[in-house]
Amino acid sequence: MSEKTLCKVCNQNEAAETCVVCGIDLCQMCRQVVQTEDISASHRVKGISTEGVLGPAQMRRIVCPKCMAETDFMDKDDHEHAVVQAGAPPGVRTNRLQAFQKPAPGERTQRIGDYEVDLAQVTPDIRGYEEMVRRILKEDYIETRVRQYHTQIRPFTRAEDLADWDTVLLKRYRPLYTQGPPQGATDAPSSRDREMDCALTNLAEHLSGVQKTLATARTVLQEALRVFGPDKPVELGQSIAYPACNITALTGFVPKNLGDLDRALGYAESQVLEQSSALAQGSGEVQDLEIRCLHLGSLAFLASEVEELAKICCLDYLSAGNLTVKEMAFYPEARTPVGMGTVDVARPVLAFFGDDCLPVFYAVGRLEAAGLADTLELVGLGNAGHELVRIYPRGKVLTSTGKALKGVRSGIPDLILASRSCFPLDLASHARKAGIPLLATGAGTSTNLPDRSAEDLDTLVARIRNGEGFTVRSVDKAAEAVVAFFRDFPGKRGRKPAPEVIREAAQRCTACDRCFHVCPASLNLASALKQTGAESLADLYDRCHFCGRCEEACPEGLPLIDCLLAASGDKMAKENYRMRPGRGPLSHLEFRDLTFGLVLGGNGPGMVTLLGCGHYPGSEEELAEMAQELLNRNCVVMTAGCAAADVARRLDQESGKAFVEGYPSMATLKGLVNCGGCSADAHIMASMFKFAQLGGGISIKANFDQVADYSLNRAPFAVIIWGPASDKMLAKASGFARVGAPVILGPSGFQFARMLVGNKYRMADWTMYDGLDGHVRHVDPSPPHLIFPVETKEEAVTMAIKLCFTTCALREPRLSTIDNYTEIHEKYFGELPDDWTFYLRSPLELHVMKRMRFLKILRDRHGWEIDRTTVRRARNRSGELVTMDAYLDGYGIKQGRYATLLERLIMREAVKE
Amino acid sequence: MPTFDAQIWTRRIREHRNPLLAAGEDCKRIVLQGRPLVDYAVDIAAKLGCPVAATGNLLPAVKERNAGLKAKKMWLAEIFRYLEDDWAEPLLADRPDLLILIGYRPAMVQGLAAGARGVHLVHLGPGRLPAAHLSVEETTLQEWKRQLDDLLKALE
Repeated sequence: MSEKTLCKVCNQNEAAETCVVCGIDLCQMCRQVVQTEDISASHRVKGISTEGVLGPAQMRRIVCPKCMAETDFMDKDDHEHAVVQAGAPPGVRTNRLQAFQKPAPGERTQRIGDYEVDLAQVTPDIRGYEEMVRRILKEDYIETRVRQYHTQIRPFTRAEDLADWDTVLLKRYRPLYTQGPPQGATDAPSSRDREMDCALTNLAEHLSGVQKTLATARTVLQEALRVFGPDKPVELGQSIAYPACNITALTGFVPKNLGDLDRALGYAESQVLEQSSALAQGSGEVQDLEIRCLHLGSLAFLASEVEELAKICCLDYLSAGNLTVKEMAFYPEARTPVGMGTVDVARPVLAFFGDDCLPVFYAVGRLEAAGLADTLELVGLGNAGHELVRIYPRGKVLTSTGKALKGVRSGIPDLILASRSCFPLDLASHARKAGIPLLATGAGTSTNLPDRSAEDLDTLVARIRNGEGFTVRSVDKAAEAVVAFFRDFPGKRGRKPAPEVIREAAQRCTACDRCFHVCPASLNLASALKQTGAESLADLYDRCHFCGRCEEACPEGLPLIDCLLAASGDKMAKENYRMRPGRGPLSHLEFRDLTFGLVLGGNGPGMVTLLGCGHYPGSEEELAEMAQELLNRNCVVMTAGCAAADVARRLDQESGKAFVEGYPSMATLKGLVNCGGCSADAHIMASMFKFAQLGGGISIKANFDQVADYSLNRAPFAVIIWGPASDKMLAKASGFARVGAPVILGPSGFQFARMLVGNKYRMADWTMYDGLDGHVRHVDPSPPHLIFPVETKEEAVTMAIKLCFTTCALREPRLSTIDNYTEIHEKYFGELPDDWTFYLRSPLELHVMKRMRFLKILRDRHGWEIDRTTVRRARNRSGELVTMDAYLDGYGIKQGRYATLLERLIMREAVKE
Repeated sequence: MPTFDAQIWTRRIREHRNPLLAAGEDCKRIVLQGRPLVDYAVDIAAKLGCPVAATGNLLPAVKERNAGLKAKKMWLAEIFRYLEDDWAEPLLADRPDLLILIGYRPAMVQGLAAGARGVHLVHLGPGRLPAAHLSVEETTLQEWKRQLDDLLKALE
């Protein structure tokens, strides 16, 4: 019996024919039929096979798919051919997708050294990106690196491109949904239903947050493009070697001009639309929805970076980019006044509010041109203040976004120029109560104010004098109206709350306590108002959010905000601090310094970023206290947005100098850096990429996951978002988390839809690959969470230190983190943390001054066998007593050993030989 | 508004063998006619003989009031994470069958509570927690104090 011959294409079916071109065996399914027709004069009978003088008019040939694609079957110019597939009727095309085919494996390669890199392996769908991928490989990769592990480059990264990495994160840090079923739901939904609902809500919140960020970025970029054109160069200065890390990490290219920024932002906008369509479908896998949320977080930083680049290059924003490292140390000067007590209320006061920088830019420009700027107090509420002080040196920051209501109801401003804001504040209503005219302007600003865009300037000014609130869409026209109003200033407009208001309110208050129940700070307003409790209204001032919910809830309509402000005049007058305005980007030299200081030297627990919107109770000194605690421990502290002003809210008692003046304005140990307004947090995020690039030699171009793997396991970074006011911050939290910088949200963090919380007791969750041999190793729970809510600032700082633990930390950094973690936990909570032993790999990682104490604790409380200072046997996580060598063999990453969370980054077998 | 009945509450609470009381930072901030809420938290835990998971910065205040009470610094989000998985937190040998919450605003814990499975939830205020099996109502501070005083008496 003869062996049957198999088809050489599928290797499954029996072959029946052979390819007439290459001769390989073909089965009925894999064969292709080429039918050609001779249309010369003697044979032009379409569709009918005829015999002519020179031979048959139609010819059928059997070929394989490869030859079908590659062979030209035209014998003469006037011949046409039609391809008929086996079994299919004539006229059906089989080459429709020919132009759309992706290159086959091995078809496109790039030589790096002596190694041929298969581009299909590096970028599965390389269509349209081949040139970019080749350039990245040639610029950023050496032969050793491409041989070592599976290189991946994902230009214009989509959510699914990073699914492997995101899945690793979501498996370890599972979503914990912190919002419940709708009020009044009578039947508890099933776990599955609830999880899906929560995931969809989370996606909706992320989309909302990112859209706000994209909108402001697009507004600024569009204005820059109209004025300067797409060829306007974009560069941040000689000290900034890596100017656009967020953009580069996702797109693969480094933007050189405004046109490139437009391309980058267009990519982000298209990606947001893609995730929106997932939301619109209203269903899907929870994991897929969460991956989309993480992707949206990364896109938020790309958008912010576009905005920052446009501001610095086109609007002349303050930037440290051209300074030497020595000059950066105390730049900019800490001259920006912060606080309600800094305003000279005898002068006319113009207050800015909102996220859009263009109204500020145009108003300041017009006022300067008119010679009026220096006759006014120009102040900002929230982010607008931080934008203002980067273009106008005499600007002041009145309050944070979260406490803007305080600034408005104080009656200090004489006119408010407002743009869209991510913070849901009914500014018009509060401005009306304080007697302050409000002019809303800019693209996307949506208020319940009448649109007066078409009216002439004189009419607009008359309306302002009349105390009205209205919208004028054109930013420049609004700026002209502002100038005209102040040129002929009619006198103070705002009404300061009078003390009598307290007496009247106290009489009318029925002590129903509805205000208490809606107050996020649990303030007992009724007893303070009626002076029946231990706390006075002035005491409550320090703990008030100034969110206004008490007034909304009060059935008697009492002006409770006015009461608090009227009682606290002295306190407001004392709010007089100074901060450095934002310096913009960070230089690569600072990160080289940090690599040695933190990662190698362990001279401090890590780098902690303080962000937030002021939506927290407590004296606005909470952030300053947190910063102080961290700086005292040698941390690097970075800030941006409203948090940057709040961090400045203290003075050195001895010298009277501003708090921030005591620390260098650099990313260095004990450095305190303010990068700028909300969008400037992109510079902080960029530092994650710079750290991986400089510390690990990793290319960041369209290589997000490798950077994130490096950062999560080696970079001692944490972010505290204190008092986030909107979903924009939730999206940014996801962006930080995705790249390996864990985030703490507080104290209002529980209001957001989803956290990413680990369980240190589930050992199966805490594993990594040994990067050399590919074995799976059990590791310490580092960092223990990715997005975590806390209640107090003490919890925030303690958890920030704990989140600086990394699995691949060297001995000295780990010693520093263990020491700081145990010390701060005991300081604030009166006891050692119950899990510090999880992070210990050697007694040498215990501070020499405390080693004996901790060894005694290991012996007495945890059953370790200790002989003086030597560990004879350690108790491992399973509870067994083992030698230290066995302990380290079975747990943790040994010092200096290469380890990874991604399978593709395990060293390839071929390299080890 | 349903009437608070301390006897019924006591009976339903004592049906559970392995309760855990979680007390939040608001226990320090809220004072009911001169009596801090943390006093109620400590007294209720002592009467039930159950440990206290003190979140926020509450642990020192708990220890100050009753040094002999089994209490530990914990983190609110971690408690709910542990409830989802096999119980391994050494504060309690076995998984709690009852979680008593005190000192957490409903807006703060509603979502976490709604997702909790396999544990009964009792919310002692402030305010009403819809996801709890038993919850005080949103009422005046005076009335809330009376309810807590009644509950303490009934637990004796």
